[in-house]
Amino acid sequence: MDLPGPIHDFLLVFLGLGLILGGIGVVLLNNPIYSAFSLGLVLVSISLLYILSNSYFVAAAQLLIYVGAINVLIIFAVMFMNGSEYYKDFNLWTVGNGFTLLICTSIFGLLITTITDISWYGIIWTTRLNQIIEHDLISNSQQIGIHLSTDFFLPFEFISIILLAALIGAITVARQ
Amino acid sequence: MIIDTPEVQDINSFSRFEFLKETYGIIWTLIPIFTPVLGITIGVLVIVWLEREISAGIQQRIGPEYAGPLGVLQALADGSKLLFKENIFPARGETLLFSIGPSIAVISILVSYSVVPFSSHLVLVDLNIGVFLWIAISSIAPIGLLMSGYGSNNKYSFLGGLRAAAQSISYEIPLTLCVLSISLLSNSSSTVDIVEAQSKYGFWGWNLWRQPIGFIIFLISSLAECERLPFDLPEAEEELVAGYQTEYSGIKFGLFYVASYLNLLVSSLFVTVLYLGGWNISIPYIFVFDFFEINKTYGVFEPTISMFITLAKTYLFLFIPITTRWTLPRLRMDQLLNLGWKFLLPISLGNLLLTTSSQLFSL
Repeated sequence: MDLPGPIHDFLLVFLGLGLILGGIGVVLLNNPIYSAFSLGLVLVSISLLYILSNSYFVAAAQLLIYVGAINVLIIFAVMFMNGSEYYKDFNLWTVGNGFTLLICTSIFGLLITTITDISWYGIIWTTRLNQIIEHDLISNSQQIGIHLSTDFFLPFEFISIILLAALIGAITVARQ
Repeated sequence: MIIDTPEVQDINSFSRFEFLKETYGIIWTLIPIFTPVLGITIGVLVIVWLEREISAGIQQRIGPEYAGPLGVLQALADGSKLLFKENIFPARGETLLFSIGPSIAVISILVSYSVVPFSSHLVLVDLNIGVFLWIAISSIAPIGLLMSGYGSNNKYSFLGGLRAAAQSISYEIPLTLCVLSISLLSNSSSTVDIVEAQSKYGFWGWNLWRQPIGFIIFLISSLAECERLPFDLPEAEEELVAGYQTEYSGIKFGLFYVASYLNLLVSSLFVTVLYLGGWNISIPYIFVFDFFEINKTYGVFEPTISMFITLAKTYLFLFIPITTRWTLPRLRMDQLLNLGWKFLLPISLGNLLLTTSSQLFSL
């Protein structure tokens, strides 16, 4: 969306806050139901961030797949759990938790160092040039289609075969 | 210290002028947002009145007659009654989820009105993914229903919420496949382009004639998405008291009511846009603009006529869902899921396959 500067910044900060608070909520909330719903908040704010950066197709796909399908299924699964016993004896510091903390902090540090190392201006200018070359007449979703059927044809076919196999497997499991 | 008073006054008036200008700017950005909301609300009130009158006609009753002429204000009276009723929270329920649930259900449907075109220029946003955005946003609504079902601390509500989510997930797939074949036919998924692709041959250019199977599947699955009567299992009175709405009272119950009618209105608007030619007059040999001898490019005349045609088609189509509601009995839950997964899904896939191959051969 081409918004004026201050509104754009405000929305960016707002959505980023939603993202971070939702992420913290997923980890820290005691009731797994609340965690699942705050995961939904995280996914919705990611898709709104995509809308803010003009990529509507990715935003709609994110909403449809992650929020509409995956998050609803997660909520379904969590609701069938007997939640009350799960968080009564909740111990924050076990060996597994320490191990997870180590991995997460190392991934975080790695990401921070890579983000600061990359020269973002170079990337911005190459993408701008590519956009000019791929002339603006073709819409965003059409560009995605063209790329999927030329450059990324093999991965696309592989993914569709995997999905087909999963579909058939689900049908056989459901019929038993 | 001496200050030249006229100068200060000048500065003051200048800053006030700037302030006024900013306020005008904000108002001018808010007007296009609030006008459609007002129009949509009036549209929902009209549907409620229509439903009451038609159901009364079918059951040989009189229907609403005291509130206003012909009872048109009955829905408004009901709404204000709900606003003044007490808000009751269930004991030991999750109050936060209980309060957020209905608003998520309403907001997710209201947002999808932004891609509905009423005229070639009278649309809030003409995105190139138009219809896809509607599909994506309407998939958020079950989260609100699950929230309210879980937050009510009631087995009936919980079952109703689960049923609503299962139903809307399973019927969304045939709906999406029908929309996909329409967007294949018109080479775009923008709603404006879809309507313009149907404008060529008048009445016979409608997508209804090119996609009869798709139209029927779309009709059935949009009824299921709206949870209207042949498919209103989430709130089946005999089994579940009232489903996920059992514990609600006051305006929160009203929000669910509004959400279901908003959903009905938006799906019949999309039937008009996708299958019934949108804002085109569609009767050959009648050219409105020649008739009135008014220049087509000038003024507000053309958008008004287009909006009138769109709304007329929508409300004429609405007779089908409303009469269906008061005619057909309710399905059982397993029949509903069987219909969705074993009948509608394969047929809509076959329809998509046929459409794709015909498009390929016509290239």
